[in-house]
Amino acid sequence: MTFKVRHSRLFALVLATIFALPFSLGWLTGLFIWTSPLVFLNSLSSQSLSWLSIIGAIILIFVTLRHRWYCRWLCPTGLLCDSVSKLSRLRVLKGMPPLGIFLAALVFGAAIFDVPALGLLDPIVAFHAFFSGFKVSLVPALLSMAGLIFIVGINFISRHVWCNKLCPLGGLQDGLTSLRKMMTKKDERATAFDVGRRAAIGALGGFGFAVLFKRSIATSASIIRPPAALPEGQFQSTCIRCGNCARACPTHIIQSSFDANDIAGLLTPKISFTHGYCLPACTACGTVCPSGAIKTFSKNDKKSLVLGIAHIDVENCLLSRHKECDRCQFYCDYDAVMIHPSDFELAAWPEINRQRCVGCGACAVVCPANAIRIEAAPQI
Amino acid sequence: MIKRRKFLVTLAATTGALVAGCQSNSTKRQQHAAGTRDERTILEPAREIPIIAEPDVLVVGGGPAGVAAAISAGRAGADVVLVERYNHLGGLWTGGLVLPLLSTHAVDKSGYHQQVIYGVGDEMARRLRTLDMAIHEVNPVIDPEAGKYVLDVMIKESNINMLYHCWASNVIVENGWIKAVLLESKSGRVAIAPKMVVDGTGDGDMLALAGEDFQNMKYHIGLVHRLGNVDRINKSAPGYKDVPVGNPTPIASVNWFNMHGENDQDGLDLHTLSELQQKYRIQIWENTQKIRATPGYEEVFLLDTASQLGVRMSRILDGQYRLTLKDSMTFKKFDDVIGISGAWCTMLYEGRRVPVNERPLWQIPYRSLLPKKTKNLIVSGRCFCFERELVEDTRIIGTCLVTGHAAGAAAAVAVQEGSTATNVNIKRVQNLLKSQNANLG
Repeated sequence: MTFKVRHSRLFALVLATIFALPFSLGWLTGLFIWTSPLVFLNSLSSQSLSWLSIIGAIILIFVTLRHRWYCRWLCPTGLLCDSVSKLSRLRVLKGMPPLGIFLAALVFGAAIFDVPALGLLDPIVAFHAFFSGFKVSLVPALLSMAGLIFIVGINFISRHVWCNKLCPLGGLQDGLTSLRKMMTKKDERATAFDVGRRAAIGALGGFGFAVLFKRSIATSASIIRPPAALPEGQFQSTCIRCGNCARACPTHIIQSSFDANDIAGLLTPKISFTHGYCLPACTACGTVCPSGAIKTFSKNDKKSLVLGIAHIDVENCLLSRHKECDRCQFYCDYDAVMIHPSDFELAAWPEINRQRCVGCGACAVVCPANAIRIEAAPQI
Repeated sequence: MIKRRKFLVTLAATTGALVAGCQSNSTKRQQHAAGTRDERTILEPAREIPIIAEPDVLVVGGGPAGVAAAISAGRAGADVVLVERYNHLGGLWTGGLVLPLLSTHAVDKSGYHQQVIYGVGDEMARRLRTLDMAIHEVNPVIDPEAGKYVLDVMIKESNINMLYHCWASNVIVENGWIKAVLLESKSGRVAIAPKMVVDGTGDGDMLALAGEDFQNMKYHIGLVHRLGNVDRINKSAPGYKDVPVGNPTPIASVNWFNMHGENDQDGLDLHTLSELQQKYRIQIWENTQKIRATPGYEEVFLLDTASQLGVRMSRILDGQYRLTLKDSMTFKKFDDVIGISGAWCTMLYEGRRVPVNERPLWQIPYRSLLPKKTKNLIVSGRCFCFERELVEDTRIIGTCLVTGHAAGAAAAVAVQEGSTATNVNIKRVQNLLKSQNANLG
């Protein structure tokens, strides 16, 4: 049994790592994140389920029936924690109450209040965030890697402390087991009461956090979010910062936000058009987002999803210097660029049709004179 | 008293005429575009046409591609006839006043300019430089009259039968072979019965007449003009301000003035071409008067408007191989490479920006010049088979010189071998091109 368990978790670790690597694997990108029942419940409480949530729902049934089933069979982070614990010579902290259920309740408490951002306490999310760090600039990278490093590192100080005492995913499973036993065996009620009390405190803490967090959100209109992202504010509170969207983005335009104006949105995805633009037929970020911060959308929906709006600095445009150029118009998939011939000075100049432009960035990226920039669309 | 029946007939006829009248007003342009189908037609009686020549190679169109093709085939020993509708060689390069020869050089990431256009095209550029009639080594801007002169001299030296002032209006195709090309001229309708035909019309007139499939790409059409006395602009005149007067040419007092023109214009429609021609010429005159009215610019004058309207794109052949942007991005190597051209335009590829220095040069395969059905037709110039994403690289003069050179060489080899354009020994074509200093990588 032990032998098989070890192998299963090793297999899970390899699988999770492959899915979490900072490359796009289509809808498989970051797939392992959907296995976490905590992520599932988190999405459930914030009403942002997607069809991939079925994976989490199925696993939730398993963990309810078998105590700590996820930890024993699937958890890649748990395997890492165990390995580190083996290296450590320090003792297990005694007398420390298990705080996992408290943390799990905290996550849901916040999620019910529409702030599922605490989902990042989930070890699977931390595991994914670690790998998404390879795709972003240094400081956000260090921040998104910090979670997993902390979770694994803390076991060196005190063996198995994460899995046994702190992990909200573990705590959730403990809670579910207590619940099941409470319903089946009467003598377990005392423990259940203990657990219930912690959960209640945790949930209240979660509400508190949610209220404070929502207050701290300053909607900064200058940030361009992925297509089908929830409105600013709601977006910052819903995103669990797993980095799946950045992984899946084929043109690498999704970056981690690290901006003094966007403290509440720290490490949330934002769009930067330095590397490329948003492909008109791509729906990747919406498909892989486990939190619902980016809604699932179809190729047809994509036509009307507005990221921002293009602004042309006509002074710098090659056409105003009578140079031959039509790149912005040629590459606009939305027919939003018109090149007007002008009687005056025989110059031509490009103009953006504000009704049609969705701010995909193709014109801004291709403009040889860098005369086009994309600005965030005004919030409706 | 009108009988009821007669009244009804009159009413129906009047209503019909009214409706037709309204339609003819609102859809005037559409009817034009649709051609003669909806209009009245007349049947032309069949007649005997004199065959005035039976050359090895007939090149239709004396633009950069056609001239390069004629020279290449002529130098390879073929008996060549070159047909041109205007009174000059060089097409849009000279007569269209599109004076910069793009893209002679490719720029790589280190900023190094590597020459890519060799062969006949390079020889033209060098001769113009010797005459001091080309400025810049890279992408030279030439003087149009010098260009016409140099091309006339080169055609004469290559012993090519030059026919100006005639328009190829039809082809006679039998079993996939073009038996004759009909020309309209001051001598009436005449026929030429060549062994091989090179389509150097730019608009792909030959390939269309031969029944090949094509796309019609609607694009910007402009009209270039030149301003004289630009060296006499008095910048110290009171009230002087900066006004655009175009770009320098090898003649110090003359500038060329590009026009982007209207987009989405059908370069194959008689009425569109006529309307734009008229409109642009009036615009240019009026703009020049505005320039002359500006303090300091009094002596600037309109030297000329281009004798050819600047149709940037029209037909694109549906040929045996469609050259793609991906081919140029991946530096795809072709066994049947017949030329290399340079990139001059920023592109988008797989969602990202590709500056010219990331894809400085790219190969052109012989198959992209070949139509699918006609056995003795080779296509050159801006109408060869490529995908639209590449258009800014494929429609430029440098690329036309390359495909023209190759088409001429292939036609000469096909005549020597007595083969079809498709079955020609590509190694022999490549060797001929190399011996004529072409660049095959």
